[in-house]
Amino acid sequence: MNMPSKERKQSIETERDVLLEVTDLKKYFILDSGWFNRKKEYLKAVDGVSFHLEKGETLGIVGESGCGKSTTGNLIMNILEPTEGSILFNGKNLSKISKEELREERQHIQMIFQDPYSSLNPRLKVFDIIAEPLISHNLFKGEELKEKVQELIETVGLRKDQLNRYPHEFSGGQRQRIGIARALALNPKLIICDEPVSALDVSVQSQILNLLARLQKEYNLTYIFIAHGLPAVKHVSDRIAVMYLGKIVEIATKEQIFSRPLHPYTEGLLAAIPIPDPTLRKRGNRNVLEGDLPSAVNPPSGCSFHTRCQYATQLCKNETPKLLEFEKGHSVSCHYPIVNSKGILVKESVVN
Amino acid sequence: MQINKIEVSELVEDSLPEYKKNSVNRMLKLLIKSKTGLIGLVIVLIVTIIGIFAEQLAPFDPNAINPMLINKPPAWLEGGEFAHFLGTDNLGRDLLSRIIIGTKVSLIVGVCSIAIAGFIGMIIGLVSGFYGGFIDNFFMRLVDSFLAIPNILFMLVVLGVFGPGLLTLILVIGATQWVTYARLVRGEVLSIKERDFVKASRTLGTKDRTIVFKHILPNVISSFIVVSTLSIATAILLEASLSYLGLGIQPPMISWGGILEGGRNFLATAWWISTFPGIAITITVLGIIFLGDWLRDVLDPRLTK
Repeated sequence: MNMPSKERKQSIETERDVLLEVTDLKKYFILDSGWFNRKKEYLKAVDGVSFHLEKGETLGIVGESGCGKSTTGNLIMNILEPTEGSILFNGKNLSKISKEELREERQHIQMIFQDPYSSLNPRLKVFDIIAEPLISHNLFKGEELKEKVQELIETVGLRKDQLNRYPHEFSGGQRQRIGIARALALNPKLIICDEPVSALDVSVQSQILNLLARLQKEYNLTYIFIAHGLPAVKHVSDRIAVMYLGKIVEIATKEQIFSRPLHPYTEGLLAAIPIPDPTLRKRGNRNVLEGDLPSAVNPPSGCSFHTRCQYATQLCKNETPKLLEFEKGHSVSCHYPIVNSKGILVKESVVN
Repeated sequence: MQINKIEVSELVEDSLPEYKKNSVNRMLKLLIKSKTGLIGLVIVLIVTIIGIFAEQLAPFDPNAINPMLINKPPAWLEGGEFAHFLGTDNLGRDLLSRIIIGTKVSLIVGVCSIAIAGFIGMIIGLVSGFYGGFIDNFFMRLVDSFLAIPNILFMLVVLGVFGPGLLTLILVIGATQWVTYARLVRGEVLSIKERDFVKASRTLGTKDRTIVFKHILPNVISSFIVVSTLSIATAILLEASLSYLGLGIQPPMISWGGILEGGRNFLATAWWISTFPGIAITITVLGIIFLGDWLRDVLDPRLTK
């Protein structure tokens, strides 16, 4: 309700053209330890994530299962409430506004889900699925609604006559298209794609990615693209954030990440990309990651990656590195960033 | 602050008039295809008609006592009379007439008590599962405490205090049976709530009420219907037990359970008194279960071919 400050913030944001600003976002889940256990344990799903997103760009968020990337998506979507930190969307702090205001604001942020089988209600016809957001926000009625829904389904490459069918009559790729049509219905500014293609056949994956790219141009959309591997976001992202155990360990442009990874974890992720040509496979000196993601309940001390890092030293065990800008637009949270694929930078640590 | 007043269902019906016609066609198609469903429907229809026109259909006065006709066996046994087709009971009353008249009360008790139980259980289950937290805890502890009370004892006390009667009987059976539904519905809601389409609905800005009625309820309804049809049987049998204990349907009124329990003492000499109302209960319950199976299929769009 404090209009002056809101307006002020908005004017600042429009100058920089920043659509979304996430600052020190944290989400701790309290673990249910029973009635008699006094000690509370927390699962630190997201532990201090900050980034910003400019209008029209695509940010890829990459990391292993359990690193908090989907939780970050859900926090931005306001399906989950953040423990700490703020999410400024268009200058508005989404976790501070009233329920009704938030419902209105949801028009501008939409989500595409990973599993096209569970993201569509099996008991509704495609028409009702795509019409739901329009009805919820009371935007169209009667004939107009029908026309709008028909337009939407054709935008995503399905036919009008398929509106009268149920989701189970469609393939995975078609279902994902329906999900995209639903997300598009409200003309959003930001779409969070939570692994939108990982449940699909390889041949269909590229179709969906192309569709998303086309829609981005047509509707001037901003994407957050969540995926578990680098190849999936390579073609769609402008910038990529690599997450590990609830933290962003490296964030940079796509080119920088692929040509000059600074964090050993990013290097590991790059090494994990399969090389289609078997003759090239043996030559590369590949540092494939070993071990599993440590528990987010008791994260390792210092740098959370030190348990799996081949370059780790005593410093890494003791001190948590901060996310610092190493070169323009390229931030990394590592005491010993890599400079080339042969070894580590032999110089004073960034912290010292 | 309330901006949109228009109901979702109205809008959808406006925009798609062919929608309803389709579903009626589909229902009929499924009914003809599924033989059990058809059998179930026929049984339920016949029983309902018998229940409605019981007075006209009964060949004799069901309460007319005739000392000359005590414990007559059914017509096809030695000593049986064709007029009293299913025989007579220990007071010489015509068994067929009694069963026909009893249909009404048994059906009313079975259907009404489960309707009440289902309604209460459904609402509590939905609220409890959807909102969680304190509300959930409160209702589930209430359910636990209801489960801890022995059903029959609870019913006996209530019926003892308020006096036996049709309405009290229905209410008391409803009050003990809702627990099953509350737990069932809550469990289903908890699992459906986590599915992506509910999450999607939230992100779309759909209101809670619409989410519950449009997304959660339709997905809960199929298991709900299956359990309710089975429970109608339980309710009819509960009515029988209570009638036997003297706290159910009172003598001038007739129910299947009452006849069944009344014949218990004569099982060795006149087995038919208990057997035929038992068969009536079995057939009716089977019919309802078959019908329930078909209904479940109708409500699941994935099962159309």
